[in-house]
Amino acid sequence: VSAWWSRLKALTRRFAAGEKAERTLDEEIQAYVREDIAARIRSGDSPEEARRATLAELGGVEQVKEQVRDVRTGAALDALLQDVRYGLRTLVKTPDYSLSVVGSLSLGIASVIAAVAFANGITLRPFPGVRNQHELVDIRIEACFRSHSGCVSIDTRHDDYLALRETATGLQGIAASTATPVAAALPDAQPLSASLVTANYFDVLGTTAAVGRTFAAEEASLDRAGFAVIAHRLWIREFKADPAVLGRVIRVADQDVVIIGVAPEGFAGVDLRVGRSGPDVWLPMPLVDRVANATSTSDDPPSGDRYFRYIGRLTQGSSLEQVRVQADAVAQLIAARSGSRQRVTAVVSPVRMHPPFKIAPVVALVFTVSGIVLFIACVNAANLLLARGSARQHEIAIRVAIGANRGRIVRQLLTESLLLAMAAAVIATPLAWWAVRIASAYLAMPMPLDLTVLAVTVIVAGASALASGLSPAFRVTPHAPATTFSPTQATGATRAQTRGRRAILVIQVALSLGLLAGGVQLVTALEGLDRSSGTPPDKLLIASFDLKQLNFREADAEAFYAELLARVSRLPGVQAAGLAPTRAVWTFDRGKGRDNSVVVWRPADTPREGIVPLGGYAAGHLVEALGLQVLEGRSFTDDERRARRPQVAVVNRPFADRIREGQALGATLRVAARGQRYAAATEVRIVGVIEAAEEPSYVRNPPYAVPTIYLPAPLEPAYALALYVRAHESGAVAPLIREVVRQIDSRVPLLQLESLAQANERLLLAENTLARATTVLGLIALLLATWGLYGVVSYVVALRSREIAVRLALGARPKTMLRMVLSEAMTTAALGATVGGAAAIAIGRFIQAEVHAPGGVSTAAIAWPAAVLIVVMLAASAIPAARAGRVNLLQVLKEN
Amino acid sequence: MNARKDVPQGTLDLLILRIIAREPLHGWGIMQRLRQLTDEVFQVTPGALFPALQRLEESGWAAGSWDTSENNRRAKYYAITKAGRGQLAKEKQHWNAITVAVARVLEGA
Repeated sequence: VSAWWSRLKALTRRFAAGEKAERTLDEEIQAYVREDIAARIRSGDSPEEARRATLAELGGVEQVKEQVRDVRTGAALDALLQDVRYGLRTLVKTPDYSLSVVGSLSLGIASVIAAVAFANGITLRPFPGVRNQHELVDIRIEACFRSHSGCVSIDTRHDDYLALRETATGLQGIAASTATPVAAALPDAQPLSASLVTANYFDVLGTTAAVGRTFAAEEASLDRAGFAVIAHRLWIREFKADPAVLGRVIRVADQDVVIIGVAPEGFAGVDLRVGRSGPDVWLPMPLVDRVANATSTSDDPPSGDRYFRYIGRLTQGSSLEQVRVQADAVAQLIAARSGSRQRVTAVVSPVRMHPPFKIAPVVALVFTVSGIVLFIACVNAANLLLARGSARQHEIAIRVAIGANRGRIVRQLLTESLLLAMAAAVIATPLAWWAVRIASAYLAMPMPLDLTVLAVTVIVAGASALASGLSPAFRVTPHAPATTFSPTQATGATRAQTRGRRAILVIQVALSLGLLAGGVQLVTALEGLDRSSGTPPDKLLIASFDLKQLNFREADAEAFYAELLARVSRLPGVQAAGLAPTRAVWTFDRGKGRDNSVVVWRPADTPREGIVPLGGYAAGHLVEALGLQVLEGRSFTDDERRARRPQVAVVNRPFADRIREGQALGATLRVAARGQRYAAATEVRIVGVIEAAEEPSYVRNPPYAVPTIYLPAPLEPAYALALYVRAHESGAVAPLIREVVRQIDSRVPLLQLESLAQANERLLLAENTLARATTVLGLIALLLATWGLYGVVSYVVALRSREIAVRLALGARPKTMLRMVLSEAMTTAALGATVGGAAAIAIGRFIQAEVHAPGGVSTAAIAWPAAVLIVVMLAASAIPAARAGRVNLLQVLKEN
Repeated sequence: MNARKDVPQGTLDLLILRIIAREPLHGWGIMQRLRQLTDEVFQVTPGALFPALQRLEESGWAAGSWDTSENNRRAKYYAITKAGRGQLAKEKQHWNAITVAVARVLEGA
């Protein structure tokens, strides 16, 4: 302990003494030298001999001092500070070089930080407002098909929830929720997304209200259920963050509910998903039958069955397996009740934002892309450091000569790279923050630069310092001082080194070209998706309504839609307008449900085996509004439209192809609403075949169209319909439609009012964002690669400046020299572009496979980045080459 | 003349402490004394001596102070401290134990 204490004292004393310690050390050694010389003279040496012998034995004053410094307490700290000071001085002295390295690295580091923030945001971050998320589990009841290996979550009843609560003793609590869109009046009519939750929902999640309170246990009964908790977002948007919102009555799905609380900011339960902003309002479960329309995903749900999400909180010490066994008992009850032949099981898993298998490829892609950018940036930095190191060989040689060992020099150079990387990280952080903020707004996902991200930033910066600094540091430090001054150095690098550098350059060019081309291909593919036949997506407006929620009677609903169609058709700028069940033209990847499909028996079908096409009731001039061509026959006549029961039908091409005789026109079909039997079906005759409206989708490849049938009259009362309007200027017509709806009935909200282009954009949000991010990163990579090329060419020219100057002096023409330098650069560029083109195709294919983009590899997507690259490369080599042509012999010889 | 040998690892500090325990000495003096006492068997260079002195001073076993030498030159004299004496005793004991043990092995073999 005393030894430590005296070392500590020594340290403080030395820091207090500062430069004085150095002077004392010097004096002490000088004193030794004088003493030794004097002693040698006394024993008979001449003064000169004595001096030489002493100094030879000493081995150099500076070396001895360095050895003493090394054993001093805090020697490492001392050396580090010295390295940092020296490094800073050196870097400030060459600002253009320092800025180049920092700029290059900061772009690379920023792209990796953004990728980490993205991955962190969508996988690692806890759900906002949820306590001890690791204790929460998802409980799903799944049916597994024997024929194929897939399992799907199935619908359950409130009784099942009560049963789960009984049997799952491994849980402290279990809550159920089900989501549904609702029409609300705040007092303006607008659509909200609601989540109906059991009274213990907030307690199970451990969430406390930001304002007011959450649900109490007694609000579990229907007569006391008229309460709502609203989202923080809605509170800000609609109530201007007024604390007096508590006690306000709002109308949701034709029910009066009292606001009792505001959820914490960002809270979305455990339902947060990329591109979805979560519920606007939470309502007590007893309201479910009054509020929720058919949210069921199954074909034919018995009453009371819905898709419920069950969330439980594990008790201390209980395992997932225990809970699974307990929940499975309930699953078997459900299986017995439904009598289905499918295997029904309970699945218990930790709650997660996104299933890992779904998100892993995206995260991998994002990391690959940003990693490539960082790699290119590091190679750039390494090349610059190498060039700089070569220019500093004299300085290094002198340091070695006066007593620095190789390790010390390497450490010095690494310290400088580290300083540069830290500066780059400091610049990269706000850059990444800005990029992440844009992505975060796009995807409606919180992606903060939290501690995890900042820690990764530091690691990435350190790693890139090592990656870019290590090889140059060792390459430029000589094993012995002599080599530095040897004439071979003048030619620069060895043949192998030059070849290696070129190979790296080719890789850089290839990767950046590949990235850029990949991004461009993705964007092109996306635009291709939008270009389906029919009305251009930006000219087709879609507005949807659900009158069932507002408890409209059949006649009122019919009158509303008739009035709507008539008024909208007369609006200026409207070319055609029609109505169809919501998502009965495009499902937007949501599939077929009870409302947007019908059952059809073709002439050859038996009563047991009907088919289920998309479609149903179509009013007004739907086909004209969609801009779909009538391929055979005709559209509906006015008489057919006025009929109470449908007698005719129009089908699309894929449907017509499924009529066995191949003769669709004139064929007679039997049509019924979903859930009805053959006996209740109506006979209709096909009078027209239209072209198909293709679904834009990344999920399937290529864009697909499903069999669709339209009828001139409804099979059952139609409450949920969508209005399709073809207009010259959809932007100008949208507010007019809003006004028309308000005039007809101010209670009716528009659940959606957007152009098809906007709907597609929303549907492919994640892919769009990914495509744009890839393109931007590709551009950055190209910029970096160009930068790198310029740096390397300049370096090579600088190394050969003596050779060039000598050749010029001996009579070589400047033009010849220029050609020589330029041709070498161009060989590299051409090689890079060739390999890059091949890499572009490979990367393009890879990206396409990842996101299921349709279409082949487009040559244009590779050609124009390649052209840009070659032009920039030419410029990058021409500038240093031109400089080489003006090299002055005297100046060069003086420099060397 | 005997062939010069490097000082065994770790013993230089012990030897220096022993030398300055008799009287305070400066660096050159310590080196001369070392050569004298070991019949010039041990070769100690300034590159080893000065770091050792630095170590001893920082550990609090030796204290350096500037004084005038017998030849009227300023030099830094090292004197043993109280803690240094304790350390010397300890090291000596340790060294004796080792040499006895080593000798026993060598003679017994």
